[in-house]
Amino acid sequence: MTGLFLTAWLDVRNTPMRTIAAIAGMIAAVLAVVVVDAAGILSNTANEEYLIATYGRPATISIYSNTSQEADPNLLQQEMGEFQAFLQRNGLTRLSPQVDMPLQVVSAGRTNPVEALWVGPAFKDIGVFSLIAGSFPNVTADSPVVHVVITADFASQIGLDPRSAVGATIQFITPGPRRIDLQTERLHTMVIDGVVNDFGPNYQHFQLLVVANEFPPALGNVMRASWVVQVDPADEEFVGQLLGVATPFTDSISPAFGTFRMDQGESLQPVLDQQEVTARAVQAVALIIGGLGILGVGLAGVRERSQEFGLRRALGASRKRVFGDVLLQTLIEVGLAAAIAIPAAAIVVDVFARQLVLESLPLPHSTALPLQSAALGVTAALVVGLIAGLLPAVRAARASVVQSLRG
Amino acid sequence: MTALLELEGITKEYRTPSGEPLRILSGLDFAVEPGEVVSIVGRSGQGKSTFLNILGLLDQPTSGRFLCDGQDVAGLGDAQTSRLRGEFFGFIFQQFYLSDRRSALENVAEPFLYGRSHAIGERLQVAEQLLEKVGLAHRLHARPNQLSGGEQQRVAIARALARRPRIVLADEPTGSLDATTGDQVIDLLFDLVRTESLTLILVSHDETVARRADRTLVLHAGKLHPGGAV
Repeated sequence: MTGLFLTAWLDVRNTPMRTIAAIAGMIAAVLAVVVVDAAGILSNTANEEYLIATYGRPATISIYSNTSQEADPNLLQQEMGEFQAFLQRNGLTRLSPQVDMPLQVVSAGRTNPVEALWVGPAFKDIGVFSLIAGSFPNVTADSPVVHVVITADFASQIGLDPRSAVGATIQFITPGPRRIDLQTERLHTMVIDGVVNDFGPNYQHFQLLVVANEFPPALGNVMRASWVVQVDPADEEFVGQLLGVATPFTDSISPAFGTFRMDQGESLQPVLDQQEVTARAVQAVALIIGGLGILGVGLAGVRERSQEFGLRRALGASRKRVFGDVLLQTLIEVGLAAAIAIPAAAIVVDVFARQLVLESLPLPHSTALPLQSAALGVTAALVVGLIAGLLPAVRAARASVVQSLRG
Repeated sequence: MTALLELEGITKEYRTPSGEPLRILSGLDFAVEPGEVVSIVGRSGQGKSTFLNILGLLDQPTSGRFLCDGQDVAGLGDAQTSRLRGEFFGFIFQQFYLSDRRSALENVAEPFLYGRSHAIGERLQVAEQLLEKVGLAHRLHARPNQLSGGEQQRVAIARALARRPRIVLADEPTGSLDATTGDQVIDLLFDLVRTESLTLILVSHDETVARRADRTLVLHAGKLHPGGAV
């Protein structure tokens, strides 16, 4: 084996121009493979880090009940309380209810419909909003004054300047199955604690946020009641099992409960998956071109070095040995290509990380070349070298000694 | 004494481009004993090189029996044949066949790459000793293209002796050299062969070279004939 490695190494060392020609294309191919792979991994890492930073490590699941629009609000409120207690008894303690509720904000003698969201204080910990800390409205207790955060658009809609709306009071009524008469309708007061552009990807259709200690009083038609829970991702299945044995609400429609992963709702995984398909295609093309380069140089080399291989046979090398010499030389060349391309890829990835990671994601914590990308580069180079080196090796080994010596 | 090589009824046929058989060797018999120096002479195209290639296991006869140190080589596979070729024979060619990319020392050490494992230091030490024997101790690291023709053939002789073969096969070893240099190379080759008690089979056009052998054979009409007429 020593002789085999030594021969192959001497062949590489003694033919620098041939080696450069053989590995130039392969360096580019491995560089492309590694950089493209690293771009995918860094984007995935950035996505993962973003999700963790936004939602925390646990899985954030929305559990919602499927109730009919005609459900009795008072009964529903009672059943929601019982259901929440059931979830908490079963260990779902990182939990907060949310109630979607349409309101009418009275402004300049007109009513303005608004999609309001009532949430529990635990929402701040769960952090599914893109609100910055401090922008949550003050907790509204059993008080006729409701503290809210509204969107800038809604502030404009009701005639307020978003820049000076904080601290303003506005009035609202709860719509119901009745004709609204502003002369006789009971008006509730709300204080604006903050103005935001939006409430984040999961809550973009809301214009008003209320944090309440308790479920809102039966102010009107509850559009949908749900709970945001955070569990270990491994317990996601358990949540499903739990809902299977939970008592459905009165007027519930089948299935009584549903869930969806809120954190994954914002994930760019589908985009990243599509990006990976493209990346694999680019990698395949790069490797094919690199491999064809190696094959071409290999075949030309075998033809040029015919006498050399004939002499080797005369000196005692078997066909198998000549085959091994040529194949190993190719593998050393692609190994060299990988040895040059991978450090170069590490530099490219670090310098151009911003261009490589999906634009909509923040840069990941580390932009160092992922080890698995480097491993992929080496493996791809060796596999391509093995395939592309096969034909020249077979030709060199099959040649007749006498014919080879004649050149 | 047992013959080192024994060939009986060896024929070698090629196919011409038109598909006609072309017989080069026709029922050739040959035997050589250890330590013997045999020269093969004959006109061009008589098959001297073909004969030498068959002797050195570089080519296979179309038919006939070939015993190498008592072993019939007909049934040997490529690996066994290659091993036997590397251990039993040393080759000297008219064109030297030295690698320009390697130094004289590396060229001489090359046969070790295809034999049983030797430490690199040991290989180079043997190669260096051989180059000293052929008078090239001062040109160890010279590339062949930095050497004269005579020096290149000396390197080739050293390489042929590297693995201590039993038989040296030389095909027109002076064919590419001028007369004076050729004489010097032949002197060296014969000295080394005698000193090392090797068998030498030499193909040459040069009558004076052929006459220095213990026995001269003429290859004519596909057969070997005893005699000295060239």
